[in-house]
Amino acid sequence: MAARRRPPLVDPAQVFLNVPYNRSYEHLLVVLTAALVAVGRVPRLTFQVPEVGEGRLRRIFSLLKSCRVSIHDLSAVGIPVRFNMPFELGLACAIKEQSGEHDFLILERKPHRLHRHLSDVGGIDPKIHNGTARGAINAILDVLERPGGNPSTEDVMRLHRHMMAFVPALKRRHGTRDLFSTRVYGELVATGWAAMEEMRLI
Amino acid sequence: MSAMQEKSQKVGRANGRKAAGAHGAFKHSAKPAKLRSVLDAYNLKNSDYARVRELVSKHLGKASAHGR
Repeated sequence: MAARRRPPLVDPAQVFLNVPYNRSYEHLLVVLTAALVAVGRVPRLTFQVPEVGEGRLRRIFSLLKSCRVSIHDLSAVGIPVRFNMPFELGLACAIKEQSGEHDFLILERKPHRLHRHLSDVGGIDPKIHNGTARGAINAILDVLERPGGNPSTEDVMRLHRHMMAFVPALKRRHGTRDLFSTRVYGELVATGWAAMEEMRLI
Repeated sequence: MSAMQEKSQKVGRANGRKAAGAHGAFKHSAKPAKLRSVLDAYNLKNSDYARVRELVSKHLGKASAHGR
């Protein structure tokens, strides 16, 4: 008899980040990561999902379910069109409807565009970041908070600048051209935590 | 509230979804993660963090010396 699969525990500090994995998005990825670190959250991305023979979709679903909140930036679905991001938003909607233990935030670059492309989410307003660091940080600080109060937008902007300064060295150290691997991205997150500690924001 | 907004909120509720603008109402608070759980999430060791911390400390020392 097949063993019953245990549902993943929901970690309130983990946030599923559904973003495009291309180099032109790296800057916003660092911004979102800085904002999440600043509010004491652990960003989780699908490239962190280990290859253990369960099938990619099941693993993504498990990761999403284990996160209390997910953030979906649909501003760069791009050409050629990639369907992974809207698909993962659909999974998040399903988890929210079924378990009630999930919340999601949609990010967009331009106002009104999402409802033209994805009318099923009519009635849910995305946060508009205009492709700017400040816009993305404010979107996160608006919906996620630390019990002791959030740092200011300016503090998070400073944190983001410090993290950006480490990106070239991180890539050199790992001999890679992007941030989209567990090891490189993990060190970026660790850099953010270390900077938060140094800046006495934790 | 405009008639349009009111209608949009009613439709949102009728569909069992958040009404327009309701994302602003979703404010999720959580106890900050512990460093250990951050490192575990990325399979990082304490020694990895110590190295990163030292680099960051040097960088921030330099940054503040330059008045940034």
